[in-house]
Amino acid sequence: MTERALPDGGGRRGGELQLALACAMIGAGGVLLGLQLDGNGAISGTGFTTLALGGLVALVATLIQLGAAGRLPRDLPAAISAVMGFLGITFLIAGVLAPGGSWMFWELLVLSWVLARRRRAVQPGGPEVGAGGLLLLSLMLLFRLWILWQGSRHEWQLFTVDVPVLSSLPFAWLEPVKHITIGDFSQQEMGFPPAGLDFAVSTTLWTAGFTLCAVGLWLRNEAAREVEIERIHALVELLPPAAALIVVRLLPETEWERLGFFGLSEWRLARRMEQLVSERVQNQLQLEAAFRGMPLAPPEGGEGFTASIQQALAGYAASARPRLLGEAGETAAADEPEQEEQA
Amino acid sequence: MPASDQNRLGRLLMTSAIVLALGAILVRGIAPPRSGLQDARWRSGAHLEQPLQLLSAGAIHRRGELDERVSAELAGAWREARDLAFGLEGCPALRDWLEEQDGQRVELLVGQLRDGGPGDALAALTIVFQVARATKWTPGFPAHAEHAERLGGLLADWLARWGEAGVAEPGLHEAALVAALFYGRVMGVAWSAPAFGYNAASLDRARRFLLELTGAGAGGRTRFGQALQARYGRAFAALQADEEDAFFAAFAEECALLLPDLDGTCDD
Repeated sequence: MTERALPDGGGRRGGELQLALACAMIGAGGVLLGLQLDGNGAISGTGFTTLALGGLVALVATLIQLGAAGRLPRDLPAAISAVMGFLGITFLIAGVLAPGGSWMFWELLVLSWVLARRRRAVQPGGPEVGAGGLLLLSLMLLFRLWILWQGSRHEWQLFTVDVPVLSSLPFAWLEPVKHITIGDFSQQEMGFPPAGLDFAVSTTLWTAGFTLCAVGLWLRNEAAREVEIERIHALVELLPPAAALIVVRLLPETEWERLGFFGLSEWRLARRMEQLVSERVQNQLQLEAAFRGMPLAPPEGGEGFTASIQQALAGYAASARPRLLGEAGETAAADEPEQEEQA
Repeated sequence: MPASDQNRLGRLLMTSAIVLALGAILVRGIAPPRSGLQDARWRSGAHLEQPLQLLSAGAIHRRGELDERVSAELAGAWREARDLAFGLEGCPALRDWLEEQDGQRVELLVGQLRDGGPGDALAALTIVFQVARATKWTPGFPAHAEHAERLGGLLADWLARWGEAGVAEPGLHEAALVAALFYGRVMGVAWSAPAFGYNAASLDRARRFLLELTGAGAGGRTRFGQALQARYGRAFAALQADEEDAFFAAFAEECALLLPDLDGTCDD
C-alpha cells in the first residue's frame, strides 16, 4: 500500500536513512566514551560501574516517558532505534558522571529528576532527552573534565583559595595554612589507570563521543518524527488526490503529533483519521449553516470587542453568502427530485 | 540516490550501529595494562642483589663485589677511582675538591666507567654517590650554588647515558631511578641557594632535562618515564607541577626517605 502511494519511495526511505545514521552516530559516540588512554599511551576501558548507573537512570526515564505518552515500536528499525535511544542516554550519562565518590550519587539524583519528567508530546521512537537535559549533561561533562584535569596534576581538590597575607610569606613551615582547599577527593575515587591518565587524548575522545551521542540522539528524535510523518502521508495518499488534499487541510501536518497519530498501528491510525475527518467536516457544516443565517450588515452603534468581532463575521458572511447560498440552492435543487421520488 | 542504494545504505548503517553499540559496551571492559617495567628489577640473570646498597652509606662494605662486575679493561680505572673516592676525608667543598688533582682524576675515571658496560656504569654511579657523601655541596653562606650544580652535572651525564638504557638492566633499574631522584634533590639545592630569590637557571635546566629524560612533557613517556611513574609516582607528577616548590619538594622528600645521609653536609 505504501509503495503504491509513494512510487519512488524516496521520502520514506530518506527518513529511515536519517534514523540509521543517527543510530550509527550514537554507537560510535558510545565507543569513544568507553575508552581512555593511560599515561603510557595504552588504551583501556572506562569500566562498567558508570555504565550500569547510567543504564539505571535511562531505564527509569524510559519507563516513565513510555508510561506517560509513549508508543511501543511497530517494526524492526523502530525497535532498534528505540534501543539505541536507550543506549544513547546510557552512554551520555556514563560519560558525564564523576568517576566515583558522593558526587556521583548527587549527579544521579539530579539526572533522574530531569530526564524522567513526564513529557506532554508522544514519544514515537523511545526515550528522549530535551534541550534542558542536554545542557545539564554538558555541564556535568565539564565538571568531570575539571576534576580529572585536577587529578591528572595530582591536585586532589576542586580548587584552592590563598589565605591573604599568609600565602605571601616566604616560609615553608607556613605551607599547611597558606591555602584552603575546597572539594577534596582521592585518587581512588578517580579510578585512574595505574600509569595515570593521558588527559589531552582522553578528553578529546570523551568530548567527541559526547558530541556524537548528543547529536545522534537529537537527530534520532527528529528522524523518528519524520518517519511517522512519511507513514501518515503514505496512508493519506491512498485517497484520490482531491480527497487527500481536503484531508490534509482538515488535519494539518503540524497537528499530527498533538492528535496522537505518531506510533499508532496502520489500522488504528486509519480509524482515528476517519473519526477526526468526520468530526471536522461536521464542524465545518455547522459553521457554514451559522453563517447562512447571519445578518449581512453589522449592528450599528457597537464599539470595542463586540463590534470588531461582529464586523469581521459580517464581512465574511457578506463575501461568502452568495457562494454558500448558491451551494445551498444547488443542493436544495438536487435534493428536490429525490424527495419527490421518496414521497 | 536510487531507492535500492538508499535501502542498502540504511541497512549498512543500522548494522554498523548495532555493532558499534555492542562494541561500546565491550570496550569498557578492557583492563589497563600493568607496568611490567618494575619486573625488570627481579629478572633472573647475573644481577646484583640489592644494588641500592652500593649507593648508600653501606657501600663501603660491598664495594669489593663490583670488582668482578667491572669489565677487565676498566678494572684499573675502577680500583683507582674507588680508592680515591672512598679514601676522601675532611668533607671538602665538592667543586673545590673536583678542581684538585684527585678530584680531576676521579672525574675522568668516572667518565671512562660511564662509557663502559652496565657493570661499569654501576661502578661509576657508586663513585659519584660516594663523592657526594664525602663532600659538602650545600650552599652555606654566602650562597654557593656551584657545588650542587657541579654534582648535578655529574649525575646528569650519567643519566643521559644510562637513564633510558638502565631501566632495562636488572642491576641498574633501581639505581637509575634513584639517580634521577637524587639529581632532582641536588638541583633543588642549587635552585634555592641564594639568600634572596632563586636560581632560575637551575630550575630551567633540571626541568628540561628531566622532562626530556622521562618524556613527561610532549611526545609520550620514555621507558624511564614509565618506570619512574610506576615506582615514584609522586616525583613523576611533580614534573608537571606549576609551582617550583612542588617540583623540587617531591624529589627532596623521596631522597630523604631513601638516602637520608645524602644531604650535602657530610653528617651521618
